[in-house]
Amino acid sequence: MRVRLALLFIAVVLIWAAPSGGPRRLLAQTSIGADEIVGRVQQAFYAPGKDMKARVTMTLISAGGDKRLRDLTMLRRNGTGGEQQYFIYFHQPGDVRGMTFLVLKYPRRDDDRWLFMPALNLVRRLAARDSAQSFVGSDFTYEHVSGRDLESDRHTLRGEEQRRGKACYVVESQAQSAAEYSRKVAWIDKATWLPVEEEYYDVRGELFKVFTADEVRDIGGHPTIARRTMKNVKTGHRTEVVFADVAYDVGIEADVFSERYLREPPRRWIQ
Amino acid sequence: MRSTTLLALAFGLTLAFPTAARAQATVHGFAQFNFTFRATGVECPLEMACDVMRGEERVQLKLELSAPDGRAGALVRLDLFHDAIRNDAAVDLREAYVDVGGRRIAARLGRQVVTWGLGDLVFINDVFPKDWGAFLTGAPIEYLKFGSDAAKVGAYSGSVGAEAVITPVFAPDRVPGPDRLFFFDPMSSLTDRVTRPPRTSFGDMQLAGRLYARVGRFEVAGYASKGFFGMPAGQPDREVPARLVFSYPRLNTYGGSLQGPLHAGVFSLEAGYYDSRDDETGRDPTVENSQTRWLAAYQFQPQEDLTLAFQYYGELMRQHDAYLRTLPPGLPARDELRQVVSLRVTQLRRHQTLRLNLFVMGSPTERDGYINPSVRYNVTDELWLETGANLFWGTEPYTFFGQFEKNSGVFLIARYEF
Repeated sequence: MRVRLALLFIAVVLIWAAPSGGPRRLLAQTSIGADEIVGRVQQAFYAPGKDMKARVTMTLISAGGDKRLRDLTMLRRNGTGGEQQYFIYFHQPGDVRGMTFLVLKYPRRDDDRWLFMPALNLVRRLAARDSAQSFVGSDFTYEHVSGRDLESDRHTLRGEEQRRGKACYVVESQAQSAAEYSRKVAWIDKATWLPVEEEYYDVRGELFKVFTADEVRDIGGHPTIARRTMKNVKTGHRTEVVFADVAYDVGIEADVFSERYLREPPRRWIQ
Repeated sequence: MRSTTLLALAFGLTLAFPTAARAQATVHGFAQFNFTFRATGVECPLEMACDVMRGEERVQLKLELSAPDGRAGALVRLDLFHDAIRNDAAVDLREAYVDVGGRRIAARLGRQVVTWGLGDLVFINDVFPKDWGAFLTGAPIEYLKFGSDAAKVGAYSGSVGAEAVITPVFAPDRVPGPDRLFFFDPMSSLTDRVTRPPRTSFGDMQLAGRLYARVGRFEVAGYASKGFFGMPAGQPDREVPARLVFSYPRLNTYGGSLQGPLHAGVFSLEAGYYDSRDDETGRDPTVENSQTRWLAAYQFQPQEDLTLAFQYYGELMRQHDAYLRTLPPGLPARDELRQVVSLRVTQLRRHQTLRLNLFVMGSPTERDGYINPSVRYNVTDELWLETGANLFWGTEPYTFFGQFEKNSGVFLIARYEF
């Protein structure tokens, strides 16, 4: 009995002691720590609040300086079990004005997507397999806009360092399922759990895209990337994105994410 | 006179609404140039626009109004255009409607485009008016549909919806006219023709309904309609005819559709029954027999910005025996079963500013086909250019596509959006 008590005591002491000092660093080197970080990044980046409303302007800038504008209202609502719904209304340019776009996003499964074309009054369901699909022709993919499954990459914590003036974790993610990249390195701000910079490497191991968070604002207690840039360093094309009028927990009804509102955009939310 | 009134109405609304109700008002639109050239080099009848099938300049004004709380809104879409072939200008009120309602019940009242169903250039449960003349002469695809003067009432709950469209005055399809297009006319010698549209009585109101739901990742819908065939039926006035009387036979339709994910793509199934109320026995050769129509389609993306869409469509004529027995001698007989297959390839390039499209449609049963390649480039955010071709082919001059063979042509569109 006494021996058992003594063993139990030793065990308890060891468990208490383990997180402090040397063993902690060892733990941080394992993939579990990296997964935790990426999980928190996904929460901070793609899912803060119960819902979100934002006016998003994307400027597509070619290497030669030609500019194209994509001006849209984005509504997001978090469902149950990691499901999310996105509703997008296009304000500009003229040839897509009034178009609406609905994405139902599921964990570990392809999205369901619908597009509504007002001139034809036509709702079309879109085949949506390609995770590398460009979002409205920009340098951002659908996954950049709405997130990527944690399990789709193998994450490794590469260390900690200062980047753009922030104390950051450096996380490397190796693509395990279809992706635009084979490897991604992200600098994650320890204070906000938002990436301050990301580098994307192609199958040849060459850097081809760089993401930067250019301005972060606190909105309703949620740190939010208000300005961001994705640059294709191989082509020189880049996309600058501004999130304006961001609001969380505004009470967007689940009904909004339906065929009815694709055809008759919810004026209350898109004005 | 009519155009002046419409313009006054549009501008009156623009001025009156913002001050009266503090509604948000926006005005947008486009200026467009659209020419289509016949590429077949055929000799045309004197009255037909020959090498130039379409030539027009068009301005569209779109006025949108929205109540501050978002519970009501209105839209006016007005086209002003000049037809270079006829050298006349005209006004076309494309849409003008008011939206009212709340979360559960809503209504859209006025001229509106309604589109249902899953087909790509084939229509089963979409019984709303179509402008085949615009389509065949190379107008932008949105001009294939035009507005119904209707009331659409909907009831919604979550992902379930029920909608009824009531069209008090029947509007037939706009069919190809001999001033622009070649088409098969079995009684071309009869030039004295009159058209009798349905009466404007309550009994002749056109009704259409749709009940739809999203069940998991699948969408199901049921449809029903009561109205008229969009294409007229020509009836000789007597045994030795002197005049052809066109009317629109009664048509009821019933159908359903299903759409959902399959492997990496999306499948679509749709079917409908066309109940020809004025020819239930199939013995009237001038009126379409009842039909069953169906389609199966599959689309997927083999790579980024490339979409392939396959479609199979069939229509089966009921009482084909009766049709053959009563068909006047000398007229070509249609098959009991008509089948059509199509493939659409869409490729986006240059950050989705360049769109390459190829649509190929063919009927193995009628041995005819339609090919529509097109290229569209957004030069700037405001200006886009499109060029393409509508190519028709057939072994017989009376089949669905074959009759338009001499209308094969090349179109050009330039549109500036503001």
